[in-house]
Amino acid sequence: MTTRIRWWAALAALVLVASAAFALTRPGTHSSASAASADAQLSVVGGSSTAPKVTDSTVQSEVASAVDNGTRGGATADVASARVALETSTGIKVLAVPATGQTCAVVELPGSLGQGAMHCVSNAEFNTSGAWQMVGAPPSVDVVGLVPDGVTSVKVTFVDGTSRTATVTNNAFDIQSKVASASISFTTPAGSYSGPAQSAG
Amino acid sequence: MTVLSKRGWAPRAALLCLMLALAGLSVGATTASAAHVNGFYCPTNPGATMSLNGGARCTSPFHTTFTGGGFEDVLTPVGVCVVLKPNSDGSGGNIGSPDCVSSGEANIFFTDPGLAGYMTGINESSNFHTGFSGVDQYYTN
Repeated sequence: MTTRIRWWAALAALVLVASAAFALTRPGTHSSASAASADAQLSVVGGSSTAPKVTDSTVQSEVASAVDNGTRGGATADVASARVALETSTGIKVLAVPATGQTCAVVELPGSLGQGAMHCVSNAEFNTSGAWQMVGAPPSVDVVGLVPDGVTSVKVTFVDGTSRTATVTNNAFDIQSKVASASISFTTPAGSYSGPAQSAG
Repeated sequence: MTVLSKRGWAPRAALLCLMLALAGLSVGATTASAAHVNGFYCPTNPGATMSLNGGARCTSPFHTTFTGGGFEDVLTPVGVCVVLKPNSDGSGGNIGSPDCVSSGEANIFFTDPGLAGYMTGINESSNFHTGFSGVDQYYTN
């Protein structure tokens, strides 16, 4: 009887070791953040949107991978619903990408590197402060991203004290500058938003 | 002392072999599908303390096939940047464009898998903070 118990204990230990090995070799599994339940006020990805869909499978794959591998982990991008919200004269594309409980602003940059940048926020955060980022470094900085429905313009102030205002198209905006940005402001249906927008100097 | 009969050993040995094979298969399958690796840097778990104003930065191990990386303070909403750099201390010219956010996670990715360097996270706030965490993505072959 003692031997039988030892055998079953050994087998149980083996199963535990195998399970642990499987879990440890699985990449990108930080603890998950709780998903926000709010819907994003982002009509550019809605059914009536005329903005073109994102069809580049390589971009879709990289965006999905980047969203899933976020520092908090666990989000899934709905790349099938992603839209090209804005394309600038310099070739920058602003993609609106919904994810589980999140809204992601993805920026495709022109050039041979095939580089993109991304910022994801909870839907609740998006509805009050948008999802935007500062891409590049002086002398080529873009303050770029998405803002909630109802925002018509975005103002960015730079470190030299100057400011620039952009009109919002399809929830998206892009403000280019030769100097680093310092702050950003806009008005949502829920109120005004103002915050730091410090780009790499 | 317990003496095991041949009849008792055989099924047990077979079961043990089966379990070992299953364990090997599960680990092997995961390893084989891990050509595109999602990893963590700075540090393995959240908790690095860094300062300040873009001067403090931490870097991933060197890879030649980066496809992306992210950086965030998961405890405090502070400004951060992430960028690919040529030097292990996070210095040198930018490879591609840095991405900066005032809070949350900055993230860059490349559709051309083959960029070499060190994925670098930068604390853009003017204070020491704890909780920085970076993720990176690269191909192993």
